[in-house]
Amino acid sequence: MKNERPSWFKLIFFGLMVLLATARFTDADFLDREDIFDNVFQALTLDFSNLNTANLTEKSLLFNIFGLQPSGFTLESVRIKQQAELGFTYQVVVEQTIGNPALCQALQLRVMRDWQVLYEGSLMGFNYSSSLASDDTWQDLVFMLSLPAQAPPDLANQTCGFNMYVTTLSGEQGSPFTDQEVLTSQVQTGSWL
Amino acid sequence: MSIINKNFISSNLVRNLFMIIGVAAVGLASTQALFRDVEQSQQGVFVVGTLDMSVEEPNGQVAESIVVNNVGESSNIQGGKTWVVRNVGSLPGRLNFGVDNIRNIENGCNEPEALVDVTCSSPGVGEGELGQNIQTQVTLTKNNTATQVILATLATDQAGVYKEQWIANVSNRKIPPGGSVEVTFAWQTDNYAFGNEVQSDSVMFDVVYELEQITGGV
Repeated sequence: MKNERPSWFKLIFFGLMVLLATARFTDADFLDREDIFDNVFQALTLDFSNLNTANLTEKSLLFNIFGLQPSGFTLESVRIKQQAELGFTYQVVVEQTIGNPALCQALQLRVMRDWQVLYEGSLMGFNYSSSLASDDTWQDLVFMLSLPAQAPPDLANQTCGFNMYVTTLSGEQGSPFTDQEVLTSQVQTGSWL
Repeated sequence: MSIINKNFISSNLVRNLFMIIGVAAVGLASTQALFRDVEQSQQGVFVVGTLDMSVEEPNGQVAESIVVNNVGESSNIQGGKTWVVRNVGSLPGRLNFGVDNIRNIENGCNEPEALVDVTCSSPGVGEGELGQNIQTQVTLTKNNTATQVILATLATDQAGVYKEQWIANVSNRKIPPGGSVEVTFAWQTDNYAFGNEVQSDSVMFDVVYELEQITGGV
């Protein structure tokens, strides 16, 4: 009687022959891996706030004057406070927002820090720069706004609205981070003869 | 037959049997090999090769991580780190390089950042914007010849790009036993390429070296 092998046996035998005929080398058995963990780039922060010097709350309104008379004046102050890691140079400039340009031009400003006069002149010409190093905490600025005694009658019953922009400066190679805070003001004159 | 004859026959049979056993015992003892010699080869050993690499600083110190923690101090950043990769095993190996596990972390937002960034979670893994602004370049120095092989950023989705470019651009990754190569990882940003959106952000990643055994070919 003829001995017939099953077909699966032939398949396995054929596959084994092919495997043996084509096998050359075994795959890589050894692998060494070295990890350098936790490489890190960390960005710093830059931030400041304008604070009320009395109670250290956020301050966005500087002057709000009604009925200003010639030779009249008022005082306000602001604390520019470091709130982050990077020191910065800041600049303060004034821009009119609403009202009579003649009144805005006539208003006079005196700025003091540590009782030293930093600026004395027209409100609209105010342009001041200073620096806060990273380990400095704050600078207090005191502003005195006045209307000259010789203010003409056509400035009576007029309004001048202006913003004081406190802006960090980057410089040529300075930090790419910036911050700006705005102090708004409104002045309304009274009437006089 | 008498009883006397029967006893005589059986006693002869027993005697003959003892004689045969005795002769056989003497014969066996006398023919057994008395000399023996054993030769042992002292050099017939199987040796398994070793695959091992070291990753060090150029001065031989243990490789340290990259730590740059002053991003934002100036308008850009740039720098680099070089590692010496040495095959300290006895088998040749094929070197792979990769950057894995890139994590761009938001770390919350302060006021200036919040004005320009709507993803302000803390830690906010995957929400940071720092890595996408950092351009990295990997240079392989072999036999005093430096070749730039990878150009990629540290954005989260760039992890696979490093290994792909390494394999595509390094024509010969073989390091023979005792051989070494230098790998330089350099980074930079353009001037003012980033701004408040990256304040407090961080990017973390792992640098991975693999030396795999070569089994025929390179």
